[in-house]
Amino acid sequence: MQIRELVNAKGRVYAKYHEDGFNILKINESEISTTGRKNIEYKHRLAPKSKKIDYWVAYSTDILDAYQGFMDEYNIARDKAANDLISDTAVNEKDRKSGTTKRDKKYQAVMEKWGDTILKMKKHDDSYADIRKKTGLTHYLIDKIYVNMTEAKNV
Amino acid sequence: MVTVYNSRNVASMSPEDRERINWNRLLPVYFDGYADLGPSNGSSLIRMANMARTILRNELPLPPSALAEFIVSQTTGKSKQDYRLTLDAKPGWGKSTSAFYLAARYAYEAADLFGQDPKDYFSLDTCALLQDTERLVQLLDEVDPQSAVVIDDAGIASGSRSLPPSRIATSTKSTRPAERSGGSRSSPFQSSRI
Repeated sequence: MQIRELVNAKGRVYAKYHEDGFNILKINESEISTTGRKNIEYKHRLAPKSKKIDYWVAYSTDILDAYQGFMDEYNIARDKAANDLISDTAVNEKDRKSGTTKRDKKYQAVMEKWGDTILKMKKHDDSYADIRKKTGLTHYLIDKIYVNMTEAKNV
Repeated sequence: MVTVYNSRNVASMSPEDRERINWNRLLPVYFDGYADLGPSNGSSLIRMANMARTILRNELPLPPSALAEFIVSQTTGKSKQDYRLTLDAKPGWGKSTSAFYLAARYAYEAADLFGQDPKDYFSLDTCALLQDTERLVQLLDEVDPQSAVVIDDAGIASGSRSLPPSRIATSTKSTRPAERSGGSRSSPFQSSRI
């Protein structure tokens, strides 16, 4: 399921008149066929109350009294959001390169918490079912932790 | 101060406004709620642009919006349906501005219908600007019914960070592109989101 299949209508900026302070949008109702010729998209004209809407003019939000200065506030908020996103992406990239991703950190935490328990239970020949019951970990994770713990002890 | 007309209050238009509008030959646009552009060709776009230009340059009141009224009728009608709309365009063509204007006109219509302030239905607090999926889900959960939500740059925002599988399922369900993203996304209400 994609966003394009869930929307009531799709619009696009059909013509821009930035010097004059408005844009002209074209909005169509969207229907995606699931029978016959599958995934064919049909665009219908919007026709509420028998009025066919081909174009719709969008002015700047600032011309409305209740929203004066809205675009300035938006620009500030968007710059902040962009900086946050760049910062987060940079941190994630750094973690990924240094091998300390979120997934690695989570694995280390699980290994520290259950490593010794898994080693002990394995030495006592406890079944996987028992270990899973005690730790809540999957078969795969139990094996992985056991191998890593054994290697660490041998080193 | 710009007056915003809708199909309910246009009949009580002041004589001054009526005279100014009539002088610009735009009275039918206000009383019919749409402009008859004639055949659908390149000239119709130019005619539309000329009308919009005339309204801005002469600081005329804004005419009723059949589209905004249609969306309000969907979200506040008996079934109280969501209305989702995406808005696409090339970079720098004004997707965000257009989506905000559509959301603002929706808010004006809804506020006029229920006698409230337009900011109760749309404000910067109901916009998701490059926010991650978790914040997006939180916003859609917390937003008041019948509010317009604009998700700006939805492709970058949602899914930009990892989430536990359970939240991913929720976000997929709830990511209703308001107006834009637009619009489009798509907009966006607990259940009616433009």
